[in-house]
Amino acid sequence: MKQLLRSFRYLKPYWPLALGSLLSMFLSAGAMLFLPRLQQMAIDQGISQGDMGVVWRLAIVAVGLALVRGLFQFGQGALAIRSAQGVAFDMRNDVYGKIQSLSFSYHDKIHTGQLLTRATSDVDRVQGFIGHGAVMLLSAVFMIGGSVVLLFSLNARLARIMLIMVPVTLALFALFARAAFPLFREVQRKLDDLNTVLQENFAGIRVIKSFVREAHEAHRYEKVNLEFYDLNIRVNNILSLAFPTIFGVLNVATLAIYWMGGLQVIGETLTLGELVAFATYLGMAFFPVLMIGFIVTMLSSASASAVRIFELLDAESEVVEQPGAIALPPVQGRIAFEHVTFRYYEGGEPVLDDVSFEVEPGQTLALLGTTGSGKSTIINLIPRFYDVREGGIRIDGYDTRQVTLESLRSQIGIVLQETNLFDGAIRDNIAFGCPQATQEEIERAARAAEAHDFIVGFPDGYETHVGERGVNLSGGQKQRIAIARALLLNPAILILDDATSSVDLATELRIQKALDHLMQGRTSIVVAQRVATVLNADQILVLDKGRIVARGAHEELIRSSELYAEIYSSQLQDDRYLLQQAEITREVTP
Amino acid sequence: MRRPGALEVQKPQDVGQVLRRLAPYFSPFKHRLIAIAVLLVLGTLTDLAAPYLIGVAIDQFIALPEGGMPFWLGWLVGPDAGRASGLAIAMLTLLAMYAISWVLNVTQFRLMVRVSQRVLLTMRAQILDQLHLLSLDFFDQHQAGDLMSRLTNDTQVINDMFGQGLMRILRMSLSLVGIVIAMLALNWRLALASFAILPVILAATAYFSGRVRRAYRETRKTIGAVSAELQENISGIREVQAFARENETIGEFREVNRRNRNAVVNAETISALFMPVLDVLSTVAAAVVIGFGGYLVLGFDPPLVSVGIIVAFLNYVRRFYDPIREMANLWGQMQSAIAGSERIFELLDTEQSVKDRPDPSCLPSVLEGRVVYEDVSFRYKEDEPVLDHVNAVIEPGQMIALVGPTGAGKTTFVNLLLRLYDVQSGSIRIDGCDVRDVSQATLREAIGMVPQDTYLFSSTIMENIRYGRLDATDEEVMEAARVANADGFIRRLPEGYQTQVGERGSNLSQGHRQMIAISRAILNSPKILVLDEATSSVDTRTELLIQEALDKLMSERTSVVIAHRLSTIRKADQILVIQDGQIVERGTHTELLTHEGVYRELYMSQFRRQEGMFEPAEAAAPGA
Repeated sequence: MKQLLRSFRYLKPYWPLALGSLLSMFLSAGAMLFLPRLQQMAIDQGISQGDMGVVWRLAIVAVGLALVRGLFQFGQGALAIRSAQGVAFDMRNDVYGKIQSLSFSYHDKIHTGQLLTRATSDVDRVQGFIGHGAVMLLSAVFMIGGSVVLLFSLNARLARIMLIMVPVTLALFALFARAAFPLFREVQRKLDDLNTVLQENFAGIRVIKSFVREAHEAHRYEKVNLEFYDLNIRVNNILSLAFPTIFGVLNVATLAIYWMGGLQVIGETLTLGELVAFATYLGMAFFPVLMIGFIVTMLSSASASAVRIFELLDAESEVVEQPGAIALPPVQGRIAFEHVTFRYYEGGEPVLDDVSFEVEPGQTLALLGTTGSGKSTIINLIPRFYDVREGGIRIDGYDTRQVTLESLRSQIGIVLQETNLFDGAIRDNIAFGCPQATQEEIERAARAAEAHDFIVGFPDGYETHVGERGVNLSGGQKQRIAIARALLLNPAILILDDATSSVDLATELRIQKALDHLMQGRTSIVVAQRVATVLNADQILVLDKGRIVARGAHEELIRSSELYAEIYSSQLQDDRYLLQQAEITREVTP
Repeated sequence: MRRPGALEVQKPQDVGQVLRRLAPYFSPFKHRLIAIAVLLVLGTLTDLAAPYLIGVAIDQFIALPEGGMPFWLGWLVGPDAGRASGLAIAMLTLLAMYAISWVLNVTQFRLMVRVSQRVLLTMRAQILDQLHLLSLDFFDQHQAGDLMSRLTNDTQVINDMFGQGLMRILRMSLSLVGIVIAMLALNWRLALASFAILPVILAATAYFSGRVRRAYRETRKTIGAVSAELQENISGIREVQAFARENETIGEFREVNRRNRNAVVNAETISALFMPVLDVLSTVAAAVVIGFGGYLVLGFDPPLVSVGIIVAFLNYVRRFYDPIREMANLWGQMQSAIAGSERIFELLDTEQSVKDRPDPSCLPSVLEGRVVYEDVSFRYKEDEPVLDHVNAVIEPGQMIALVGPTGAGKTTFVNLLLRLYDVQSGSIRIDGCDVRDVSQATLREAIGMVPQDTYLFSSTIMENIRYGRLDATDEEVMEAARVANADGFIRRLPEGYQTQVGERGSNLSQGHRQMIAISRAILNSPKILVLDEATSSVDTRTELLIQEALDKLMSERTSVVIAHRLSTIRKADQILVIQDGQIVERGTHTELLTHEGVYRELYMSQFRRQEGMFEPAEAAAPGA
């Protein structure tokens, strides 16, 4: 509720619209309240008195009043939607900006789907409440109050029926709501379950088919499907009672009016026109009561949405710019880790444990170690995807936490392990880091990344669409585009999470060539899978469970580090074998 | 890749055909549907009779009665009942009618919900079954996310339609007819006068509902763009931040967001206009009733209409517009429900390209595992052969390795063995049995496969491995993980084997995911093993350990391995070098190296690179 009230701050830039909408609402509701009065006068003073002139005049006034009312009604709707959508627009922009600013540690923990829901349906719910719900609530209260006053002024005795009808309707509504709403949520949850199974059957179809698990999956689905069916029946059983019963209250109240009022007309304490007007007011008072019921439910879901939205907006990014952060001047590329200890979760096992090293400008540092030894973490810390809490990282002597993120990241080129391309032309994907690049520059980068040839092989060349609705690129092709993307930045520092393992030998060779190209004259930090990179490196760090267990150049390490020798022999045995083969073939071929 | 037109119906093409297709789903409930129809008619009649009864009560008992009572009223209250007691009896009758109407409505609603939910239950089950039947080419052609959102959306729309919409439409049309008849019966002059404005209302409704629908279609498109933008930049957040592109993407987002806001404002403005217009028109109709009614009372002697009837008419006129308004709303809903059904039927009607024979023959229960490819050709698209007259023989217990550039046809080669696709010419035989004569289930049970893309279900690691053999005990699962060298890292996870793996197993590294997939295949323990780059993302030291375990496993089995690491390939009994859909070379590693060819070229190119690294001096003068 508190968060929902907080959302009203978004209304601030739009307050003239909101106020206008509110005024229009009052005016149209007032006009509506006046209409049954006209009917009553037409019957009592016109038809019953035999005065046709009054009847015609009143009919014309009624139409005029209806026109005025229609105008305000339209004004109310049109203004409300503008203020509501203004709120939604601003809120969505804020949510999006926040998402973009949150560090990796936030994104590690949250699913894309959850963020998507917040930015779309949650914003819609809050917007709906602020734009319509609040106005409707006021309008309903006004309508009920107005008709109660009018009913009492018409006939206090009959009006007492209202005093019974309104609470009874509200009580019934509350009763049904309490029974049905938990079930609604349950239905939604079950529907999600159902869709999850379906989704998994899409995405995992190869596994399902290869293991012949169709029956297993069908069974799993059937279970959820039946539960979903049962829930729907239960919800509908409640609904089937709810609406006829609530409308039954209105019917019975109307009946009571005609009966009691009829007796009064017979006793000549009430006119027939008044009775008819009375019945009409009753109907007018009834719908706002229903509306309040609906708004209350809207309110509860809107406030849940508001909580989710502000939870996101209030989330502190673990990586934030210091208040006095300076722009990192163009760097030479000296990188130093000073006693860095890092853990992803508070209180968890350290992923890096007291890691210190230094890389000189232009040098290549290779990181070696088994899966989970902390190689990727080192890489992620340099551009501050996560922030170090213990120890520090310096680039050209600047503590990375003291400089602005943009100035830091724009000087670092990264090729990540899993290549993500965006929906759009290949050209735009290469120019991702520097959109103002010329076609010439882009092609140069692509050539250096060994990507130019296959790109021009596509019918649309650099304009070829990739991503969800575009061509399917192979892993190797994607990777070369990612390399071109990093090359175009011409960064002083280069980070490579090398994953050429999923491509064939020939492609791998080409990628390797592209990488060699990329590393020239830059400080490079490479997660090494390949012997070439390790052997070329000026410095090799061997990591094991977050610690540096050995460091040095190849010749040193092969003698001094057992782990290195072991990794080397497993990783490099292919290459060693190749060398032997080379010896043999060299002897064979003249 | 996508087939044009497939599952992309936006507007219903042939309503009649869709209804004919829907009919069988409802036919098991024929009797119930008849009962529902009867209840519906009765319910509507009682609802309509109420205003009439009120009108009569006013005329006969409340206003000063003029002339005689209708015969049924005389029968009901007695010919000389007093006004008060007559009113009492009329009101009690009304109460009874309300009670009856309540019972009818509740019963009808419940019956209908049961029928429609049953139908949806069946439909959903059919969709899943159909997905299982369809062969992989279907999934290649359709984006999973896309199809998925359509299916859930479509069933939801149909759900809404059948659940409430259909009944409401029937009810509304019935009451519309009932109101017209009641009005005509009460007083045809006044009835005709009130209908005078009807054409205007219908025209306004038609005009607005068309425009509103188009406007809302636009809002759906723009909100789709908003979601797409979000989706893409959230999943690409690492790139966005790495390249410091936040400001640009925020700018792009503002733009799609703005477009969506404008579309919504436009659509809502149109519909905000619709309601007041209808309200004004219905007030005009009420004014006509009062004005013309008053004229009929006062202008004639005896009056051509009574005050009670005017009141009843005011009541009817108000009720008259509700159904029209509602049907305008429902019309759009119905259209999308029909389009949705059409898409679902299109899915259900899609022919699977890999079909079991009606009388599939069985593989021998004890397989030897001899696999023969004979003149096999296959293409995904016309004119683009992926495999072209391929021949190969794999002896029982042999391991063969497939080598070749990406897109050469290696994965297709193994997919055909599992009948994920069917060969277009030639044949594949296992122990002499043509795979096409064997049912897909039997065949795949005999073959274990670790596919290129590792898929993990959102469940625990334990359950994901158990997927290989559903009746395996926890101990057996862990044993399989030990063999695949996965046990160690799994135990180091905070919750060990009970760790939940999320959407696409994103909290595990690619290498770990592959190790789980391998454990799964090991648990399955098939006679023929297919590994499609199964260890490509595992680090080399771990791979070596897995490889040793697999060697043991593979020594008793026929295995087909796609890999490019020499350590794996070298051990193969036979290496097939595939290029452009053909086997260009075959033989053992040593055999292939001894003659000029693709394989050797592949090696030499890599060798040259290595040479450059190890002996830079010599590299400068090759052949020295």
